[in-house]
Formats: sequence, structure tokens, C-alpha cells
Amino acid sequence: MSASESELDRVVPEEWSVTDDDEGLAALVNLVVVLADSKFFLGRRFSDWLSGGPSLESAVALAAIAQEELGHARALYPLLEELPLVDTPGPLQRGAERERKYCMSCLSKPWEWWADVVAALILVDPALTMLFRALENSRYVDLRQRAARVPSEEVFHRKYADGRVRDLARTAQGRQTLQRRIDWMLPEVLMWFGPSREPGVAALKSQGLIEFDNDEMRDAFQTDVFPILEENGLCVEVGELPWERWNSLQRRLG
Amino acid sequence: MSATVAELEAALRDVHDPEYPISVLDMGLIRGLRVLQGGTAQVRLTYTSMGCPCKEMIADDVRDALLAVDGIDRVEVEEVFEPWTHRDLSRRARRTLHELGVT
Repeated sequence: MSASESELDRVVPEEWSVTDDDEGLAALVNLVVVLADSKFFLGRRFSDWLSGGPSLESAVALAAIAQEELGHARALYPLLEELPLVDTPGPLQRGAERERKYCMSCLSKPWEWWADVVAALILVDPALTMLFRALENSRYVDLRQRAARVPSEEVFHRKYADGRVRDLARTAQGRQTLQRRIDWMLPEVLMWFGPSREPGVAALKSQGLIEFDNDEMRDAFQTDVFPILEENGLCVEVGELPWERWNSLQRRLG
Repeated sequence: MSATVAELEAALRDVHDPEYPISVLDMGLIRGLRVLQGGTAQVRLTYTSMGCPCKEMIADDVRDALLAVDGIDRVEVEEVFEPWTHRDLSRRARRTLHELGVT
């Protein structure tokens, strides 16, 4: 390719600055660390299964997916260094650098079953992607650049996830096993978007840092994911969500 | 005498992707080149994937190649996170991949 100087110069209209909005800063730091930690631990959980999946193909696919999840985390952590907030959480390299983790509790420990991997592929990964979609037009340019790229890489994860749901749901035993893991993960995934009218997200939205509110993201997620589950005989009814056990800072069930 | 963008491009023709004998230019990884006053080269670089395990290696190879150009004594490499698809491959890169049996 031939690159010219004009290609190098970027025009970023209405770029957000950390000095613009103190109110949104804390919410923004929380958003970045939640996304980064979630990607980090999702990648770690997938990598736990590199030698435990049902086929050589699943090992190869999970290696690629885990590498990309960890790559997304690695791209996000440097943003924490440029956000001037006291006690900003630091990046994770091996997972034990800090006690407080900002991700769903279902990502905290290695999974026991292959169905856990499939449930996370079809629930957790698309939930994270939905949040990245909400950031594709963010006024925070360094986050927007990263967020805009993630969904295109996630297309392949989703195709793989859909296929694994169909595989498992093909037999009654597989479908029942997957249903149990969905019943475990789905309430926390739905809560992960946060309660309605959450003040921090409202501040982010009013500043143009995020495009959708929690309910809009949750609805879009359900519209995206529920059809493939229902088509394969899986139930997505969750009943009342246990908000009394919800940790809004760490984005997890406590 | 300052270097030119054409000289930077020529230097990058010898920097290959770690997986294939294809230059980073033909891979479509270089998204911008500029020579500043005082001998600084600026490079905008993207990767085939955000999880590419060879990021540091590629950036180091790019930096070393540009520092070898007469008139360049400083190189700034910026990762720009721009999407990459197979459509970013040059015709020469496609031909090489075809010869290697990569579809």
C-alpha cells in the first residue's frame, strides 16, 4: 500500500477529554476495568479447556478464541493508565495481582463441564460484545477505536457458539446438561448489564461516552441470543432476578 | 538530508509477517507513514487480530527496519486498532498465499 501523510492525520470531532466530566470519570473507569477483567477471565476460562474439549477441532478453536479474548483485555488495560482517578485498578497479567475482580462470578473459577464452555460462548461472550457495540460511537476516542474492532472479531466466536449449541442440544442428555448451565449463567449475564436507570450509565450516556442504556443493551442481547437457544429446545425463562445479591461495582453476584 | 516516505516503504518491503513470507505492507498492516523534521518516522500499524501474539515482534522489526534508513534516527509506532480483513492483502500477497496453498 502507499500511505500518504493525509492518511496519518485523523480528525476526531468532539473528542471527549478526561477534564470534561468528573461525574462520568468514575463510571468510565469502572466500565473499562469491567470489560477488561471480563475479557481476561473469559479468555482464561476458555484456555482451561484447551485439552479438555470433545475434539481436536474444539481445542484449536478454543485456543484461537482464548487468544483473542486475552488480546481484547490486553488492549483495554492501558486505558486505565490514562484515566486520572485515585485508586484506579491495575491491569491483570496472571489474574492474582489484585484481590477485587470486576467480572461475573461465573468466570471466577475453572468450569467443570464442557457445557459450561458452550453456555459461556453463547451467553457471556455475546453480552460483552453488546457492550462493545454500545461504545462504537463513544466520544472517548481511545476506547472507541478498540470497541469498534472487537465485534468484527467476535463474528467467528458466535458462529462457533451457535454450532456448539446445536451439537449439544441434538441429544436429550446434552440438551439437559446445557440447560442446567444456562440456568446457572443466564440470570447473572442479564444482570451484568445493570439495573434500569443506573446513575453511572446515565452519566456516560449524557456525555456521549456510551450509546445505549442498560435496558436497551439487555433487550438487544436477548433479541440476539434467545432465538438460537429456543430453536434448539432450550428454555430462557429466568424469573425474578436476584438484585439484592448484585454487586454493581464489580458487576457480579456476590 | 531527510528520508522520504518512499524510502520508508522500501525498507518495510523487507519486514515480513512472522507466519508468511509476505511484507507487512502487502499484508495491509501499515496504515500510515510519515517523516517528520529532525529524522523521526511515524508509523500507524494495525494487526490481523487484536490478540496477535506477535505484536511486539512485528513492531520491533518495523522499528529496526526504519532506523536503518539514512536520515531516520527515531521511530514512533502507533497501534491504531483498525479492522483487518483478507481484503487488505495486496495482489502480491494473495499470489504468495495461493502458492503456499493458503485459501
